[in-house]
Amino acid sequence: MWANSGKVAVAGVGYSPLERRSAQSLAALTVQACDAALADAGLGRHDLDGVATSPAMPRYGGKKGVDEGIDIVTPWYLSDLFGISGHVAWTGSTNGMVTQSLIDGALAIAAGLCRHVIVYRALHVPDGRYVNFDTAHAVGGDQYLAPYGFNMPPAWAAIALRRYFELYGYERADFARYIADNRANAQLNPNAFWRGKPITADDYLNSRMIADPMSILDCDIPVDGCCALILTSTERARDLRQRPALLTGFAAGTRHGAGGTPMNMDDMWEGARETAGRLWTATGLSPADIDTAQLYDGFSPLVLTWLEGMGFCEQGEGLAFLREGHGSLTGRLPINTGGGALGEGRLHGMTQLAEAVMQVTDRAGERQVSGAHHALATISNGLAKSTAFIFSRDG
Amino acid sequence: MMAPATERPLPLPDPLSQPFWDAAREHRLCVQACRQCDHLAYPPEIACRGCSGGDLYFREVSGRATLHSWTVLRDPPSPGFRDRLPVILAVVELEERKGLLLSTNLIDTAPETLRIDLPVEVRFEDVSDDCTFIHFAGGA
Repeated sequence: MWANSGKVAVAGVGYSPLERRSAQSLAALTVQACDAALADAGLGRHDLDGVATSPAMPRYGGKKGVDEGIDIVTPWYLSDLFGISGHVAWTGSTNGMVTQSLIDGALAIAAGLCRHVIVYRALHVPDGRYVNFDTAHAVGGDQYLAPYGFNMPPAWAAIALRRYFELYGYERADFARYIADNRANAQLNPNAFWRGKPITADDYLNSRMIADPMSILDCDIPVDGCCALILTSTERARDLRQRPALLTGFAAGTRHGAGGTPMNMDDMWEGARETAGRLWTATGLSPADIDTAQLYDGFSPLVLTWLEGMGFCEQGEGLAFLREGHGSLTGRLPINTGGGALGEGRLHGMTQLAEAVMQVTDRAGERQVSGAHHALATISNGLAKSTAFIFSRDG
Repeated sequence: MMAPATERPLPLPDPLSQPFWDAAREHRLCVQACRQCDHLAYPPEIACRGCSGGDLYFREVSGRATLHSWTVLRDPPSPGFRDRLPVILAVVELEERKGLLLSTNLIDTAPETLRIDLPVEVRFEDVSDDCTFIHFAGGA
């Protein structure tokens, strides 16, 4: 087990509004989310001595925005905006997923380097289409993909989902209940972009196809917005405003995959299983201990990757599990109880982390899983840069 | 900044990929092979993922493969696809090694015939004097 299991906690959660295209700058939205997280914890800006994020804009192809405060908000810029540059002990910027920053922040607390770390993810929707390969040449890894139209992640995910359907005899109708129930969860989440817009199974089956079998409702919606978490020691967190969510342990994925296609289900399963093994070792827990699972769903097939890779279902049985409603809010294993990224908007895993925290602190309102003790959050696609966390109830 | 695309994006070879694209121009499909452990790789890598060695070269392969998975696009993924719709985006597994995957387009293949493990074969398409795309076709 991790030597510091349960000694680091999340003490606050904050969101900015999540909008398709905000009239406010990304800097303004980031400040709002971070101030909200601080207020939630009962802390002020001056209490922060650690700041971490992964600031990169994940746009594929085209021009990646790099303008500070508009396209991205780096930890150095936020420190300066907050007027806390003078006493920051540590800042971290991790390329890849922001969840690596959460690991870094937790370690900074555990090491005694920082007292209060803020981990945030700010995402900006660029002009035009998010995914639009609008350059004449494909360089680097793109040269093997973009000439053939594989210039958008939904097409990569389609390769994984089509193969899953074909291997195990499923079709889109088998996903419809989960997708509609997931959107229903978002109706109970005040932060969710899709709150106020429930969908039916038929809506899913009739939704616009992006890359068959991936429809628009299999993809999370890019939003302008930010979510922030406050990390501190469990000891200090107990004196703050909210009940702490204890970080029981975490794991990171390392599997590169065979190459040739960015999302190969076989590699993703293997990567998720490796990550799961590390997580169970780090926490001393097993799938049977998990009361609610927040499984990354930037694309719907990733829910299957994690459901099966973490050991909740045998390989190929995850979609039958969802079809029967076992992953719904009142099911055996409530999944993405706040609507996940599909319901809340694209925040690159912050949704999963924040919801896990809300569940083990009894703060999930109408979507609360009664008595949830251990909540799992998994992020990304199972391959390298993926992470998994278990947050637990205090006491 | 690069000019806006009106055609499909063209690969911009780099030192690692230049031999691969040069071979394609001669209508030969090559993958990278390791002299030490004979591991085959696509796309080309800096170091061998079989043995971590660095003595790698390009070896011509048969061009025979099976279908790993696919998606049929009815909207153009970039402007250059407008007159090629619907387009079949496919991932094929080369016969030389299990798990040796390559992203491509299937041409001259009816979408309703697609299934996992469908035998497919390479087809080269010269798109300019110095660039050849690697496609595959089923039912050969």
